[in-house]
Amino acid sequence: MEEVDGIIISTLKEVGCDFEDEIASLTQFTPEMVVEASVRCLQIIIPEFQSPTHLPDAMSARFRMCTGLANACQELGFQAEVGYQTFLYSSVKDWRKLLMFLLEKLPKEAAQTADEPTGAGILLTRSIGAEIGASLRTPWTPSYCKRESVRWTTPTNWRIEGSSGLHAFTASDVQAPTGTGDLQKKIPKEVKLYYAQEMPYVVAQPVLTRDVLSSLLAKNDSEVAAQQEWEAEWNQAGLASRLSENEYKAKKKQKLMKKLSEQLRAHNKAETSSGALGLGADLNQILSSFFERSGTGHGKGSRFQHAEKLQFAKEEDAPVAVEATSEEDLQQQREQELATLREQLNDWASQYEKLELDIKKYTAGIERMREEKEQQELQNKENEDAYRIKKGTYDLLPQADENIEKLKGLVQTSSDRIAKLAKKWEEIRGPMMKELRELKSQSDITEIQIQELLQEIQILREGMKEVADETRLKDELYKQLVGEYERMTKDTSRSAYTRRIMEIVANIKKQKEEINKILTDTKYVQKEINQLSGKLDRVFQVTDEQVFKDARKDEARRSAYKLLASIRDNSKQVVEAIHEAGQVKREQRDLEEQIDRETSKKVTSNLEKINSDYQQMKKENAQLVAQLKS
Amino acid sequence: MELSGSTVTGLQLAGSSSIDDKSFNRLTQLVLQSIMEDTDPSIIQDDGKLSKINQGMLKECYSSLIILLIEGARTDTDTTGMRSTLEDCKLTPDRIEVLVTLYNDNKAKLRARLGRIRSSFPYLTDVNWRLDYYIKSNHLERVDKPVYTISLNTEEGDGKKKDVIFSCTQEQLQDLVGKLKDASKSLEKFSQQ
Repeated sequence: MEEVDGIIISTLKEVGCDFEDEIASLTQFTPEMVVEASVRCLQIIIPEFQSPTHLPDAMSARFRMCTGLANACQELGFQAEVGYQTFLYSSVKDWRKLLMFLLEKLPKEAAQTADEPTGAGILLTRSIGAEIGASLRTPWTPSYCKRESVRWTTPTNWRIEGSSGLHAFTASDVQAPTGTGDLQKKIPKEVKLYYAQEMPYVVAQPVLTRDVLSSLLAKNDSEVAAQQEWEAEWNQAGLASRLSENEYKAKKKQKLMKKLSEQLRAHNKAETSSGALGLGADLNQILSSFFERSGTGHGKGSRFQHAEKLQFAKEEDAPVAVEATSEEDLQQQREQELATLREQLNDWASQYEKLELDIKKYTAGIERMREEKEQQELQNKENEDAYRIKKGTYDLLPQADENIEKLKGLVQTSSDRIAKLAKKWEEIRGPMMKELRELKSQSDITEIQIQELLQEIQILREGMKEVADETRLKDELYKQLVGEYERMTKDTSRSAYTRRIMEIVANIKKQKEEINKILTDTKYVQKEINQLSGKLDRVFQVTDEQVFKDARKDEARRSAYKLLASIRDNSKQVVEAIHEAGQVKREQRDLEEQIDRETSKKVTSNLEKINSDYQQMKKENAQLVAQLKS
Repeated sequence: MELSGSTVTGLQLAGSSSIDDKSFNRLTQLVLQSIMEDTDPSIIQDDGKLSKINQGMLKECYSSLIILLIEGARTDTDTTGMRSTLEDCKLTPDRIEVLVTLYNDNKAKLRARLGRIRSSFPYLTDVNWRLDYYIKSNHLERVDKPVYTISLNTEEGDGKKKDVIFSCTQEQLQDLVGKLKDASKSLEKFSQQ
C-alpha cells in the first residue's frame, strides 16, 4: 500500500496541498489533511464548488462542512458509504478509497495536451504571454536608465523598452570582395587593386552607419534567394536543355539581349513612324523660327552667322521693342507670329511627307536597278561561257576526223575510269554505310540512355529536396519537443511512477505464484483425504463382510463384530470431530481477522473522540442558548 | 541559418592558412566590436596585427564574419547549429571554438542589437498634468468646471522626442483611466494563460 500512498500524496501535492515532506503514507494523515485534500480535489473537479480548505474550530461547523463534502462526493458517484464520519472518525482504508476515487475523477486535460505536440502557434502565444507577464512584474524605470532602449533583466535576458534607440529596417546595397582567396579563379589585377585600396569596408558603405547590419542581412538574404532561384531553374529547365551551366547562362543571356534589342527597336520604330515631333524636331523648329525672325533684316547667311547675329540683334532690338510696342500690339504680334508659324508647320509637314514619298520611290528605284544589274551580269557570264565552248569547237573543226577519234578515245578512257571509280566507290561505300548505320543506332541508344539518366537525375534532385525539407521539419519538431521535454521534467516524477508500477506488478506476480502453490497444496491434501477416507470405507466393508460371515458360528465372534461396529462408529465420530475442529479453527481465524479489522478502525478511540466532540457540541449549544437568552 | 555562397567562401578564406591564428582572433574581436558599436573602419585598416594581410582578403573575411554572427543571432541558432555551419565551411576546430565561444558569450547582446532594428510606436516616458478651473466663458456667465491639461512626453525612433498635449474634463479623464486599467487587466489575463 505504500506505493499507492506515495502516488496519492505526490498527486495531492501537485493539486496544491502543502503537506510536509516527512509524510510518506496515509497512516500519518490527520482528518484536517484529508479534508484539505478532498476540498482541493473537489474544487478542481467542480469549478463552482466552494468551501474553505481548513476545518473550522467550532464542532457544529465542522459537521456541516464534512456533510457537505460527503454529499458532493456522493453526487460525483462515489459507491461506498460516505458521510461526515468518513472524514472525521474513519480509518485509513476508507480515506484511501475516498482519495483514490477523487484523484481518478480529476480532469485529465493537462495530460492530454501534454501528449500531443503543441503547435508552433500555441507555443508562440504562450511565450508571448510569459513575456508580457514578466514585463508586468518588473518595476518601471525611467528612460534614462536604459541604454538605447534596451533593458537587461539578467545578463542574458533583455527587453526593448522605449523607442528612442530604435530605428527602422532600411537596407542599401553593399559590396564586398569575393574570391580573393581562391587561387583557381583569376581576378584581374585592376579589380584586385580596387579591392585592396579603394573599396571601402562594408561598415563604411551605407550612408547611415546604423543601416550596416540591415544592409548586410539583406545582402545575404538576396544572395541566398538568388541561389535558390537559380537552383530551381537549373533543375527545371537547365538540365533538360543538356547544356553545361556556363553554356546555359550564356544562352539565356543571349536570348535576353535579343529580346531587349527587339523591344528597343520596336519601340524606336513606333516612335518614328507615328510622326510625332521628337525633341530634336522641336528644337530645330524653334531654332529656325528664331532665324526667320531675326533673319528678315539681315539677309541670307550661314546658320552660324545667323546665330551669331541673332545674339547681337536681340540685344540691339530688345530695348526698342519694349519702348515701341504696347501690350495689345504685342498680343497681336504674337498671334500673327503664331499663325505664320502654324502655316509654316503645315507647309513643312506636307513637304516632309512629299519628300518621304520621294525617298521611298527612289529607294524602290535603286532596288529595281540593282536587280536588273545582277540579272544582266548573270546573262553576261552565260554568254561568255557559250562563247568559249563555241570557240573551242570552231578551233577543232579543220581536222575533224582526227579530233573526233581523239575525242572518242578520250571519252572511252574517261568512261572506263568512271566505271573503275564507281566500283572502287562501291567497295568503300559498303562498309562505310554499315558503319554509319551502326553508329546511328548506337547514338540512338545513347540518346535514350541520356534521356533516362536525365530523368533519373531529376527524380533524384526532387528526392533530395524532399528529404532536405523533411529533415528540416523533423529538426524543428525535435527542437520543439526538446523544449517541451525540458519544461516537463520539472514537475513530473514519471520514472518514479513507472518504477513503482513495475514493482507492484512484480509483487503481484510473486503473490500469484504463491497462491497457486498453496492451491496445488490444498488440492493435493484434499486428494489424500479422499483417498484415505475411501480406503477406510473399503477396509471396513471387507472386514465387516468377513466378520459377519463368522459371526453366526461363535459368540466371541459376534461380540467381535459388535466391537467392530462400535469401532466404526467411534472412528466416524473422530473423523467428524476432526472436521468440526477444522471448521471451528477456520471460524476462529475469521473472527480474529474481524477483530483485527475492527480494532484497526480505532473504534474505541473514535468513540472517545465522538464523545468528546459531542460534549463540546453540547457546550457550544449551551453557550449559544445562553447567548440567545442574554 | 542560411548563408549565401559568397559568405561561405569568405568564411572559408577566414579559416584558411592565409590568415594566421593571432590575426584571426584579433579580426573576430574587431568584427564583434563593429557590430556592437558604430566603428570607424580605419581601426581595422590601421591595426598593427592585421596590416600583414592583403586588404582585399581582409575585407572579404570581415564582411563574411559579420554576416555569420548577425545571421546566427537573427535566426537564434544554438551552438551546435553554429558549429555544424562552421564545420561545413571547413574551419579548423580551434578556430571554430573561438568563433562559437565568441558567439555564445555575446549572443544576447547581438540579439539585443538586432532587436533595436524595428519600427516603433511612440513610447510614453513621462506625464505632466495641470488642473485648471474654468469659471466663465464669453457666452456663459458661470461654467465652473474643472479642466485637466495633460501632456504626455513620448519618445520616438532615432532619439526623437514629442509631446502629446490635450485637455479633458473629469469624466473623460476617468474614462481614459478606466480604459487603461481594462487594457492592463486584459494583458494580465493574457499573461496567465
